[in-house]
Amino acid sequence: MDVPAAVRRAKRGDEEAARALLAHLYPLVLSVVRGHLPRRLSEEDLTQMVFTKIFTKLDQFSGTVPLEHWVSRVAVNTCLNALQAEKIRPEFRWADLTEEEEHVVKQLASTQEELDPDRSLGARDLVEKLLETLKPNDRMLLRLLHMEGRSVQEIRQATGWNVSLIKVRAFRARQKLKKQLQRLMKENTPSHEAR
Amino acid sequence: MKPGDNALDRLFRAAANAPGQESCRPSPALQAQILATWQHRNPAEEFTVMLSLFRRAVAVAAAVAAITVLLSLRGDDSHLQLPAMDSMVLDSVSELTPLP
Repeated sequence: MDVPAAVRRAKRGDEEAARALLAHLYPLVLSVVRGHLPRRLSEEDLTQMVFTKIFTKLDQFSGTVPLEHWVSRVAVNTCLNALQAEKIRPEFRWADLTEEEEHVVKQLASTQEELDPDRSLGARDLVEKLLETLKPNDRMLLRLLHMEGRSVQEIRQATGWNVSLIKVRAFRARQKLKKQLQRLMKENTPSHEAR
Repeated sequence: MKPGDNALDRLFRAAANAPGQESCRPSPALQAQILATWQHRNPAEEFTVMLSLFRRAVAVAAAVAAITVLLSLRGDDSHLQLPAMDSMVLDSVSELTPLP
């Protein structure tokens, strides 16, 4: 697909070009939306919000950076705005975990080995629960960094934050998560289980 | 590396490897909604709307101007006359004091 040509045509109001761009950008937008979806919004609603913003601002796209970078930034900022309104979830306890999440915590506490591949879904759910106790910005940063495997430079491009802010924020957010996880692992000690 | 860091990193690695939901194409309904919103905000359409608003504004302004001119031509303008300017000017001159 000739992306620059499609952008030029879409800017002139060509519906076919807009349709082609939508299909081309959909997987990228969906992956950002799925990674940063607030609890109160559906995936489809947020995807529509992102695309509406993309097409509304398409005239502002100068073409100096790849379209995908620009779209990624618009998507991340839209998700961040949606997340800002979301309240931070208070700390959760051992009793709040599902059975699968309990297994993950037990395995983390009992061994230094990597988690079993069949525990990955439980691990993802547990990470989501842990992330919900962070502020929206911190939550997004750790998702980008650890779940999507983005580099600091890529996060800088996507969010507009400077490198030192990203590093400091990531460090502090990780510290918070580490404390939460350690607390959960301590709750899983035999003395707690005996109660 | 501290044990807490290690556990957190292992947790993140396992979570990142979790299979994602597959969906590579937008649903027709979503596609239609997005394109409808986009067309509604199409700049060409906005320009047409702005042009029509501008035309209406010009027509209204012209009508108001015409009515004002007509009223000013037909109406009694005696109340608009200022007090005698000649006497005011003379009074102000008489109050001037000569320089030493």
